[in-house]
Amino acid sequence: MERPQFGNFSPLQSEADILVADVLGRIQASPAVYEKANERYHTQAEWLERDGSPLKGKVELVYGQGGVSQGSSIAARGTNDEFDVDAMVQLHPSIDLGPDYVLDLLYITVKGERGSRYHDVTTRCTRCVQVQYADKMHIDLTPAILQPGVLARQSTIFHHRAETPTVPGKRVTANPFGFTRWFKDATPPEPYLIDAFDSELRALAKADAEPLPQQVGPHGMSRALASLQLIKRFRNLRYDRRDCRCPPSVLLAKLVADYRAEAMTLAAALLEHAIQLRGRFVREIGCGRLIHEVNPAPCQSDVLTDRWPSSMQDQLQWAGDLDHLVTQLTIYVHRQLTLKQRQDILGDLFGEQAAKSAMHVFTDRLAEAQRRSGTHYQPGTGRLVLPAAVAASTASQARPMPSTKYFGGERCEPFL
Amino acid sequence: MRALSLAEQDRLIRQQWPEMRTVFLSSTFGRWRGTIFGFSRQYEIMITYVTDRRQANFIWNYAAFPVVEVVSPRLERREEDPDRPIPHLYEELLRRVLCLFDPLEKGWSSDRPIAETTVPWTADWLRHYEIWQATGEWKGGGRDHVVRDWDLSAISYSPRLSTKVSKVTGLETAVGAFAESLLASTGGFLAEESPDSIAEGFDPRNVSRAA
Repeated sequence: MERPQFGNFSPLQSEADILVADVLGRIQASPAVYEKANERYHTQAEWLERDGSPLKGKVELVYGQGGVSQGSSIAARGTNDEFDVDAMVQLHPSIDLGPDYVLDLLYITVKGERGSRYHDVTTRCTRCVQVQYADKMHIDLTPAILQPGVLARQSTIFHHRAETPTVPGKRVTANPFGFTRWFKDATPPEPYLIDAFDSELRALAKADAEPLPQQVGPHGMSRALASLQLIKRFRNLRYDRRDCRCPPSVLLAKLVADYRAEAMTLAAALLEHAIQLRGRFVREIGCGRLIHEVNPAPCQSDVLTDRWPSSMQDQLQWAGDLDHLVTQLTIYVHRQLTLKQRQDILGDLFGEQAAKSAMHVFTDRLAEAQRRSGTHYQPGTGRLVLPAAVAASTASQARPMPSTKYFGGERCEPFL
Repeated sequence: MRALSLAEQDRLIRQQWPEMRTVFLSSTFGRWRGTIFGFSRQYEIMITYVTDRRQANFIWNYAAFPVVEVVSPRLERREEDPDRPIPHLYEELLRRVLCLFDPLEKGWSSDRPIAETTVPWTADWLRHYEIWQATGEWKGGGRDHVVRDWDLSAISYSPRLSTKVSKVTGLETAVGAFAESLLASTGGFLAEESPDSIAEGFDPRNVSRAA
C-alpha cells in the first residue's frame, strides 16, 4: 500500500518530543484496557437485564462516555494502572420516579444479592453507581433517560446525595454522546503524527525493545488529544492529595479542543495548549467571574461547569497549577536540557514513575536502534541524528558514524 | 593508507563541524575548540592532536591520537551514586579525557579524519553520558580499562611543565596540563627532559595561529 509522504519533517526529531510521547504511552489506556472496558459494558448490560433484576426490560442501551469514548482515557492516579471508565445506562422513561429513586434502583440492581459478583464492590455516588474491579478499573455507570424530541441522545441524568436523603435531588440535562461527536470533529486524527509513530514501529518490528506507544481508542492520534491526556494526568497528580473537587475532564476536553495549536511537534503543542488554558482562567479571574462552559453539541442546558468551579478559590488554585505547568514546559521546550533535566521535569509534571519508565524505554530503544543501524550525524550542524529522525533525513544529509568501542570505565581511579 | 596531515584534518573539521574553531595549528600540533551536541544540550569541547610527539629537544606529552576534553559544562558523577566514577573516562578527577575507542582494537589510525570519527564519537559519547546520568546505565557498550603495573609506576603530574610552555606560546589554552597519566595508560612514555629544556627547545617558527 502506498504510504503517505510528509516530506522531511518528523514530529519525533527531538528527544523532547519522543520522551513526551513515551510518557504518554506510560499513562494512557492501552488497547487492552479499551477492549476490557467495552467487554465490561456488555457484561453490565447483561447483568442489569438478568432474570429477577429490578431493571429487567428497562435498560435500552449502555454506552461509553467521557475519556473512553474520546480515546483519551489515562491512568487515574499516581500509579499507572488505575483507570476510571464512564458509561451511560440509558433506561426506559417509566423508571424516572425521582433522582434518588433512579440512582438507588440502579445501585440495588448492580449490587445484587449477597454473594453475587458485584455485591461488595459497588458504591452509590451522587450521579452514578461505581463498580470497582479487582484490576483497579472503576466503571461509573450513570443512569440516564433519553429526552424526547431533541438531538440524538440528549438525556436527563440524576443528581442526589445518598448522605442527605431528605434533600431532594435534581434532574440535569446532559449529552455526552453529542459532546464526544463534537470533540472528535474538533480534533481529527493527524496523519503526520500517525505516520511518524508507525515508522518507528516498523523500524523496530523485529527489535527486542518496547515500541513507541500505539495510539489507541477509536479516535486516532492528534496533538490536541495527546495534550488533553497529559493535562488530565497533570491534574490528577496535583489533586491526588487534595480534598476537593478537581476541574472536570469534560471541561478540559472542551477548552483543549477549542484551540488549534500552531506548533507541529508534541511538546511545543502541549505548551501552547497549556498557555491557552492558563490564559482562559487568568482572564476569568481578572474579570472576577467563574468560568462558564456549555456542551457545544449543541446543548445549552448541558452546563459543563455546573459542579466546578464552586468558588473563586477553586479557579485560583487551578490557575496556579497551570502556571507551574506552563513554566516547566517552557523550560522543557525552549531550553537546552540534558536527559536528566528532562526526566526531572516530566517526573514533576506527569509522575516520577511514568518519567523514569519513559526514559528507560526511550534509551533502550535508542541503544537498540544504534545496534541495528548505527549512529548518523548531520554534517554542518554539530548534531547526531536521533534514530526516529534518520528516515526523515535524506541519505545525502545524514552520514553514518563509523562504529567504535568505548574503552575505560570503572577502574579509572588507580591512575590518580 | 597515508596519514592525514594536520592541515587536512583542520580543513575537514571546519568544513563538517562549523561550530569548531581552530585554536592552534602547526605541522605537528593541532588544537580545536567548539560546541557540540549530545542530545539538545550543548557542550564545549577541546580536541588536541599531536602527530609527532618527538621534537628536537622534548617530547609532547600527549597521546598519539586526538585527545578530547569537555571544557563546559563539567562532567559530573551521578548525584544518586557519587561513589561511582564516570564510565569511559581517563583521569576522572583531573582532566576528564574521553575514552572514544579501544586502542587494543586499533579503533583509530592517523589516516582517519577526526571530523568523521573523533567528533561524532564525542557527540555519541556525550549522549551515552546523558543516558548514564539519567538511568545509571552505560548503554554505549565498550570495555573497561585494564590497569597494568607499569602504568601506575609511570604516573606523575608536572604543573611546572605546563606553565613554561604556556609562557612560550602566549596562548592561554594552547598547551595546558599535560596528559602524563593518559599517555602512561595508553602505552606512551613520559618526557625525560627538564621543564627548562622544553621551553628552550620549543621553536615558535613551527607554530602558526589558525585563521
